[in-house]
Amino acid sequence: MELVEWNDSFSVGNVLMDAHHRIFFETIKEFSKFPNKNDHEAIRKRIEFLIEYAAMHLGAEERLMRQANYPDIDEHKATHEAFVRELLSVKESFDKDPSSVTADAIMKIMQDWLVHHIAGSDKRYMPYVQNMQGLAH
Amino acid sequence: MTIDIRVRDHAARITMSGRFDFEVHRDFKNAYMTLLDKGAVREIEIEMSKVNYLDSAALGMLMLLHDRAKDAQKKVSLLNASSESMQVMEIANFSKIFTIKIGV
Repeated sequence: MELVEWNDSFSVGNVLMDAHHRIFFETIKEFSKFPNKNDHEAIRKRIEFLIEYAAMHLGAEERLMRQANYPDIDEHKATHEAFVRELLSVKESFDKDPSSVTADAIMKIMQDWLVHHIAGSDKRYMPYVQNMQGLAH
Repeated sequence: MTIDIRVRDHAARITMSGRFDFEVHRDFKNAYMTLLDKGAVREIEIEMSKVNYLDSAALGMLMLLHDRAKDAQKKVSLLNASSESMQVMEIANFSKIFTIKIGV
């Protein structure tokens, strides 16, 4: 699996969201190096943690967009909901039959979504959030 | 890793010792979830002077605590982290997100 390194082009102009995103990348990287790929229980725990973390992050991002009066919040939330559904579906497949989907494939789904979501959807709320932060200072 | 919890007045202190990594995530979460439910606790302090290793998952665990504490209207402070731990935490700009206290 090719790992993506964080760089400033991923910044959405908000310290907390940048921190969330960066930790997401770093944890995916850390878990993808987990040596015991056949230890399904250990892999399952890591997948569950990443889903829990993703849900926390998406909720925080939606709160921020609401505070910034981002007009396309409903569309953005729909992409979050689709991602959570995808993660839960992959996890369900893993729970039923751990040989049906590899840990790497799950990490890759998360990393790819993060890269495309930040570069696409997240960047669109950036001016609204920066405007809000500018007004607050 | 050992986790010790002390509650004094309005502050609760969770003392972490040893490796703060993914292996402790369940125990760490259980430790702070009981404190989030306590109305009298207004601040949760994570004492880190005895932490000798911190991984990315630990940063994620702290961020989960940060989010949940905000929901519960409680403050989170990170106490006495070593310079090595600080270096790891600064990957995600923790000094701009958490209250960080050294020498307390």
